[in-house]
Amino acid sequence: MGRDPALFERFYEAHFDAVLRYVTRRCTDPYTAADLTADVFVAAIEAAHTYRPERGAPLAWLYGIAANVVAGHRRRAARESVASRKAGGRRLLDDADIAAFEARIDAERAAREVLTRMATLPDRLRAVLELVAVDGLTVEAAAQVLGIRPATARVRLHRARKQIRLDPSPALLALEPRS
Amino acid sequence: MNAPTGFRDRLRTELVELVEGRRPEPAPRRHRAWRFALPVGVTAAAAAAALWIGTPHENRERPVPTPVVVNEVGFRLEIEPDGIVEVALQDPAGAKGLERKLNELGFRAVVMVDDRGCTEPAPQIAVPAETLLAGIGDHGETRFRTSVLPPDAYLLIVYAAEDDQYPSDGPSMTLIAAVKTVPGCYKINNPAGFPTPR
Repeated sequence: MGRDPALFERFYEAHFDAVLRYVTRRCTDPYTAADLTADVFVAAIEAAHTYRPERGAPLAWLYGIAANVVAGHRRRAARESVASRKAGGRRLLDDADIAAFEARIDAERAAREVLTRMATLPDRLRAVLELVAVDGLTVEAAAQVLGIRPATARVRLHRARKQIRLDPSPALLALEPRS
Repeated sequence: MNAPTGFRDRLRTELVELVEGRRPEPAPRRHRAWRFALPVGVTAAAAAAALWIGTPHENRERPVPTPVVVNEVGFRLEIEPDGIVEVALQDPAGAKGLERKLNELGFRAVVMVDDRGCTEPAPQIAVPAETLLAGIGDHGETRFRTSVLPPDAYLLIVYAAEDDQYPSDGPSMTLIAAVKTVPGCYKINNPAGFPTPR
């Protein structure tokens, strides 16, 4: 994929919306969202050789990359490889795109609120809950994203939900599985 | 759903160009004897070391061609443009994979899991942890400088479980050190605090 343009194009078409959704749930600025979207795909191209089909769906692998890119952005570490500068997302925006990004960001407001409230959970518990409850991954896919075993992901998900039960926040309680 | 279609199309075009530029060039024909000059692994490791690490003992962060991001089961590895390496060993199942990947990238690395029954003396330190470490990432990742690794030292990474009952449930710490010899096992002597291997 990282060296085959036709294969990459199919991959891009299949996953653009998912990446856009992931990013717009985690930032509020259309320019940053465009940069992060581009950075996720550049990182995917550079890391394409690490994908192992037998370990799960490409979306989970891509979410793992997206999580790293977003985390890298948050800690403001330099990520300006020659490649990412070349594809720096914001310079590709026109007015209609900016409006579309803003609409997407607005539509994901509820998800962002939930993510913000989840920030009180320990990182390793929050990460599983975030992927399952907000991004809609299965526990197995979330485990793949995080590089842990499904059994570990299930334990962490259980613990995260247990902690939520101790937190009366309505936004977090909404994540409780319905019995 | 609103879609930034212009952006999507322009980004696709640029990314496809990027991938085009990464197409492998046809390998030049080499003399047959070259194939037997060195074992394949040694050749690859040596080439990677030259590429990623550069001249030994340079007291600065050495640039790497591009950032490397590796996400595999149990670990995450990132090499930043300034030569800082960030490692998250999340599960003991990732130890061997992390070791393999670091060696593929040219680092003489040994990754093991804290062994409470280990009686072997800790190996001699080649570079103090405070020189090697470049900090801790936002999510507990261990960050270290490749520039201070001597060419004859081994990078030692040891995973210590947070909870003995849940050994796969995340590390309480990841010890990292540059050592002169490879130990057969390793016991972290101070699991409650920051490890200082002797």
